[in-house]
Amino acid sequence: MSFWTVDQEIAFRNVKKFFGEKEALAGVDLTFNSGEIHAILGPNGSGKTTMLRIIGGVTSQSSGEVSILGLSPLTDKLEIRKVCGLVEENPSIYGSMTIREYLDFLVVIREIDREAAWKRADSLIKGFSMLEYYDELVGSLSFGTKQKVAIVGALLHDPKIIVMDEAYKGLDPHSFNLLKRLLRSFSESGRLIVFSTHILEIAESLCDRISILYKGKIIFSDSNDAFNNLAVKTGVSAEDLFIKLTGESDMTSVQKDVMRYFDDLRN
Amino acid sequence: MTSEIERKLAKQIMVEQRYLSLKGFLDYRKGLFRKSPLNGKSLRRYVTVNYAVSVVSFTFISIAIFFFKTLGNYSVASISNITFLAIVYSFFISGYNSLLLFNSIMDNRLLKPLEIAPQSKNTRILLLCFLIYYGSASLSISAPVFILDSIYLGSLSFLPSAIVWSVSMIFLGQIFGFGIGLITSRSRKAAVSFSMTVFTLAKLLVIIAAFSLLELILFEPGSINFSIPDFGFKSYFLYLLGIPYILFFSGNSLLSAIDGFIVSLVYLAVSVFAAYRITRRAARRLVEETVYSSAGVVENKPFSRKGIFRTLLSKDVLFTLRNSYNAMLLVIPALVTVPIIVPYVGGDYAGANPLGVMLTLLSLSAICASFFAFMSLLAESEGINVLKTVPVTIKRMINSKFIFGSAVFLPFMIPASFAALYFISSGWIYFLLVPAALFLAFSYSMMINLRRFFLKIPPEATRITPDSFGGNIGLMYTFFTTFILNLLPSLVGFQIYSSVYVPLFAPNSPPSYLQEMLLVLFIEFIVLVLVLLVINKEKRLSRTL
Repeated sequence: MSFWTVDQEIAFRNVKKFFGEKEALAGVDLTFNSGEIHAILGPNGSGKTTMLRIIGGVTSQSSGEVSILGLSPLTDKLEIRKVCGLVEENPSIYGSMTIREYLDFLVVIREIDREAAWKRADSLIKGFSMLEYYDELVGSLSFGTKQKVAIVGALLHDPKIIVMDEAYKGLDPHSFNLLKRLLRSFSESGRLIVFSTHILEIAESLCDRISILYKGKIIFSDSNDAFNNLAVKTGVSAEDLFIKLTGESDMTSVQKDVMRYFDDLRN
Repeated sequence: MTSEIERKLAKQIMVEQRYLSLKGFLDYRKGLFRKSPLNGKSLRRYVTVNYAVSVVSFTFISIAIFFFKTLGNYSVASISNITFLAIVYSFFISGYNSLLLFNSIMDNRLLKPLEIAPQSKNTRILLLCFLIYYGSASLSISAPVFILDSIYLGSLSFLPSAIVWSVSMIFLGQIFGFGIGLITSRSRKAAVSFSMTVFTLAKLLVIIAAFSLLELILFEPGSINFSIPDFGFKSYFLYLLGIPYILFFSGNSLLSAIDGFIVSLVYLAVSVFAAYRITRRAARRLVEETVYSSAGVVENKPFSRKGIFRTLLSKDVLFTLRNSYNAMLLVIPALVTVPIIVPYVGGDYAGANPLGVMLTLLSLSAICASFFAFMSLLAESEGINVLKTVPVTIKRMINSKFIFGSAVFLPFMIPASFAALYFISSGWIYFLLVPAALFLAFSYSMMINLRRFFLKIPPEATRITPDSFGGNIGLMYTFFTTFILNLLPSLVGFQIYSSVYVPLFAPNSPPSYLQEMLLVLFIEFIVLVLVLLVINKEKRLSRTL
């Protein structure tokens, strides 16, 4: 019997992922529901990217069960890639193609309706102020513009699940604002958005639900409000609670030594 | 003098290069680093082992060429030819390696971290990196030949000048390799304008011409040596072509040996100076951002109506046309056609039969099938990450890369086989059968190679580099297996013909080349069908990367 239920778009059960002997995910149990913007928070190296790459159908788990709309990353990567739009932290786009050629490539490869894709691409390109770069080689673009191209590419096939790994990086305020509005609009139309960040403010301003990943395990998963209430109850700010939950509330002796060294220098 | 830190940084570039290549290739790592994890120590050991393997292979090749080419004739003329060949070969290897190093540093931005250093020592680090880890290995090509020369000639007078020339070739190769690197890295343009295409083609033609001349020297050193008019003393001033005179024909006196040594030293000094200058330019280029320029015309038109297959194919074409390095790699197999065809055109094989032509040209099929499979994956580089996010099966990627490879192979193979068949006055039917046999051999072996390479890419790989498939050793292994794959149907066909068909059906008839060739074609066709069946049925290939 499947552990996945219809109202859940994605379900992870005791998911582990190893890279050689290194454990990136250490038994993740988590569900994602349709229509929500779900932030995965965690310090560097906590396993966020690995989790998102599993959802995006790029890689698969070493053990445990994952269901993405009833599909398994172990056997159905092809189908998962059709329903997911993934934006990675460092966008991988062909540098020797122009933006137009790259999007054209995606339209054909993903077997998307050309007319609908064209309308979507055209409005997104204009929205992100990229029209002037449309026939430029991607390799010649700035990091931020490449990131925008990656976002447009991920939204081109109108995916049911949008996965963004620190996708706001390099975006100017205008583009970030547009991205937030777009994601809100997609979630209202029933799509699931999974968003990773290690900046709490971004998660609070954008997401309905927060899950905190620490050393490959989910240590908190609830609504945004529940997280703030917990902070109030424990008498700390949300940021301090995040730091506390990720086990980094107390300065290590090394950190104390560093601070003492710089204090001495100043004096 | 170089400092310890410069030598360490030179080594670090090599370590970094290997790390980027092996990162993510878990299966490969398991084999290579079974006892130790992938870390600085094991990578440094890997760099050393790789260097040692190159030295040993070069030494073997060098000794084999010496005995193969002299064939027991140890006259001064024969030995001068082979020595000249070894020296030119070391130049060729040095040039190839320096180009590889240049491109690998450029693609992986390996000099970038040094930019923040308070003083720039990039030129010296780059020079050291090349000389220690690539250039010095080229000496193992000429050194064994020099030892054999001295044994068979019973003289050592040529040795000082010969050593100087070997070192000189390392620098000359570096000038050549870095020079091509600098030319091909100048800019990458979006515009597919006519002038741009003509410029790219012109560059490729110049490179092909240069390499072809070099190969003629390699394969037929005698033809070059003896076509040079005897200038006597003036040969001292003929760069490269004067080497045999300086080493062996300038006279046996101590004075002539000293003269030769001084002339060789002057050429070496010029080479070192030029190599330093070009390394300085290369070091500057390698820390620059890649310069791209575009057509500058924005057209607001909808997407094209191409199919998946055509789209994958155009991607491969774009990768090649817009990257001179990829384009150059692609034409390298064209270079081997020259030495293959020259003996036919020159009338050396006037009595050859069409089967002989087919067997000779099968080497071209094998080289192309190995090289195109190898380089079509290398061209993906970091783009492999894009392929890992889109719903495309490996089978489709194999098909598109195969078609692209065929489109490049056919323009080399058809004229080459037609020329060879024309010069042996072959019957018209062979103008159809020989190219068909070559294409069939190319097809199944390229598919097998592509399948093997794609399945070697582990899920965690983030880029493809030559080291991802074992570097030069992996390429040599691929060449070797592909040669066997190409030859096997012919050998089986000939065997069946002589030991089964003739005794049973035509015991009193003379051997028919046509029947033999048809049998070989039939076997090749069966092999191709089997390969296609495997590729279409194999579940692993119906999945994504």
